[in-house]
Parts: sequence; structure tokens; C-alpha cells
Amino acid sequence: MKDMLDWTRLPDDTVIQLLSCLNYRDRASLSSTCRTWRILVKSQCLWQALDLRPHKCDASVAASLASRCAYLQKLRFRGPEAADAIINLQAWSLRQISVDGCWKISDASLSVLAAQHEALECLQLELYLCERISSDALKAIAICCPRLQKLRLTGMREIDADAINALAKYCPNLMDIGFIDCRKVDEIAMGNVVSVRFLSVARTCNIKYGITALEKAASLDRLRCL
Amino acid sequence: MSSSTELTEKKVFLLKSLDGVIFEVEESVAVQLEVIRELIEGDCARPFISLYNVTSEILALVIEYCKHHAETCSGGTSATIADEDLKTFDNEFMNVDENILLELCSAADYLDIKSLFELTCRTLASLIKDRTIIEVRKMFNVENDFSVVEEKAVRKEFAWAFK
Repeated sequence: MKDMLDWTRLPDDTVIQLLSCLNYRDRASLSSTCRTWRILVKSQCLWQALDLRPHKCDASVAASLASRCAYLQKLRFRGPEAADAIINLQAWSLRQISVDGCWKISDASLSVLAAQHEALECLQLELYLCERISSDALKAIAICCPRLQKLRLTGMREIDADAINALAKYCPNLMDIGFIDCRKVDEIAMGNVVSVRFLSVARTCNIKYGITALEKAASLDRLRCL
Repeated sequence: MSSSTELTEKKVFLLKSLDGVIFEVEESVAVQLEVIRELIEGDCARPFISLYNVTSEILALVIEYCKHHAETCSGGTSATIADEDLKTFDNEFMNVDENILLELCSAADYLDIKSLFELTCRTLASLIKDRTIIEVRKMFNVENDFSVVEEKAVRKEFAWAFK
């Protein structure tokens, strides 16, 4: 007869390394087998990053995750319901948020998201059909998240000079900006964001490729216009 | 550091397993064990090193792994061919009994061989992947020590992951 596996021979940090190779579903299965593994699955180091994209995330799901999210650094999710639910994670130390697909989201939702995550350094937002999003949302992001270093926005069609000037004023560390399908990006205002090192712009009608205003930003090392 | 009198001769180390078997390995193989590399760099490596947590059966496998990796990396072949070769070797090397795999993982952790540790962890993880709770319990011989209340709580905690 084949011997049974005795996983208790493995030290805890080895089991944690093993768990880090598994997705949440598999971790959940392990967590549900016995007390020891339940405790190990809760280990802080396994909850530095959370990718909720394949899962349905509503307020009650987010609330059930809150106890593990105190030290969460990176978060990825999709959908407007998740965007509103994220606040229930109480992940106040988040450094990075990526929203892969979001529609029907409002200025208010985005502003709340920004206001609750002041430590944000990287924000990537992919918005679709968000007619209700105005430049105010970006202004709120700029004011609430002064540590921003990287900002990638897709489909924020109303972004104007006001919002970009707010970025220039409140986010001194902003180095990497991407505006994709943001129709009203203003090139003169862009020139005011002197901290920028990497710029990527696509499907935007307002930027003239002469980039005269941008050349004013003497510190601009590299510019990519897609 | 190696002594100046033995510049041309390959330095060897004797590794003694838990059950007293002695293995002779060249320096290029020994340094793959991070614990030994640190001893060598700190200039406190003796030619005879006892490894108390590893049996001879497992140590033989560990040495086979390190030897192959050391030879492939210094063999002068192009990086892509070496990579392919190591991949094939690793795959075959992992084709062992699950208990051996567990011992290997534990040894790689103790001896601090990063690539072998990651390889065994990945392989063990692939064994657990997509199994039900009952299957995992059976596979790892884990007893369900939850109370009814706890079991309910843990199910609730992770309900989202199954959606």
C-alpha cells in the first residue's frame, strides 16, 4: 500500500511558499481542510496582492475579506459593482489599484475610491461607456492621492486642462502617465506636469504631434506618442 | 577562499547525511547549496560537512540535481539549449513518488537551494490544484479538526473564491 503523504514534515514557511503557487480557489480548499492550514492561509505574506477579476465581488464578499486586507499592497478587479464594494475591504495601505474593465461608474464612486486610498502610488483605470465621468473625478484623484507615481487612464473622455493642472499641482512624484482614448487631453496643461518621464497617449484628438508645449518640460527624458 | 597551493586541483567537499553516508562533491556542485556557499564565502567551510536533516536517499537526489545544473550551466552550450535541457531534466527529475517530493522540498528548503525549492513547491502545488476539500484531506492525510461552527465560518469566509 502506498504511504500517505505527511505534510506536517514541512515547515510553515514551506507550506506558505506552496500556497503562494495556488489560486484562491485552491487556497480556499486547503484552508477548509483543517485548523492549521486555515491559519497558514491567513498569513500576511499571502495577502499582499489580490486579484478579484475572476470572482464576483460585492459588498458582502469584500467585507468577508476585510480581515485579511490590512496590509494589502496591490489590488486588481473589474466591474462597477466591485468598484463600489472595494471600500469594504478596508485596505487602507493599498499602493496599487488596477481596474480592468469598468462601466457605468460615476464621479462619486471614483472620488470615494481615491479618498479612501491616500497611499496610492499606481492607478490604472480602464473605463467603458462612462458618460457620467467628468474631469472632477480626476481632480479628486489628484487631490486625494498625492503619492501617485503612475497613472494610466483609458476612456476618461472628459479629462481637460483643469484636471491635468490638478495633477501637476498635487502629485509631484507623477512620472508615468498614459491617456488612452481620453479625447480632450490638453497639451498645454500636460506641459505643466514637469515630473513626467514616460508619457503615452493614444486615440486622442487634442494633442498635436508637434508637442511644442511638452518640449517646455525640460526634464522630459522620453516621450512616446502612440 | 581556496588555498593557493591547490589552484589547479578541483576542491572537493565531503557531505555526510543524517544516516551517516558520505558523499564527495566538487566545489561547483557544493556551492549550489546556499548554506555551504555561505560557509565557503565566510571562509569557514571545512572539507567535511554534516547535514543533519537530510537522509542519504534524498541527499543523493539533491546532489544529482545540483550536479546536472552545475554541468549544464558551465558546459558552454548556448543559453537556450541549456534552458531546454534543464527544463527536460527538471520534468523528469520531478517524476518521483509524492513522499520523496515532500522530502526533496523540505531538503531544498533546509539546504537553501532556491531553484529546487521552487521546482518542488510548484510540483506539489500542481498535485493539489483543482482538488476538492475531501480529496485534499485524503491526499495529505489531514484530519478534519473543525467544529461544526468553525466549518461553517470557514466556508463562509471563502465562499467568494468558489464563485
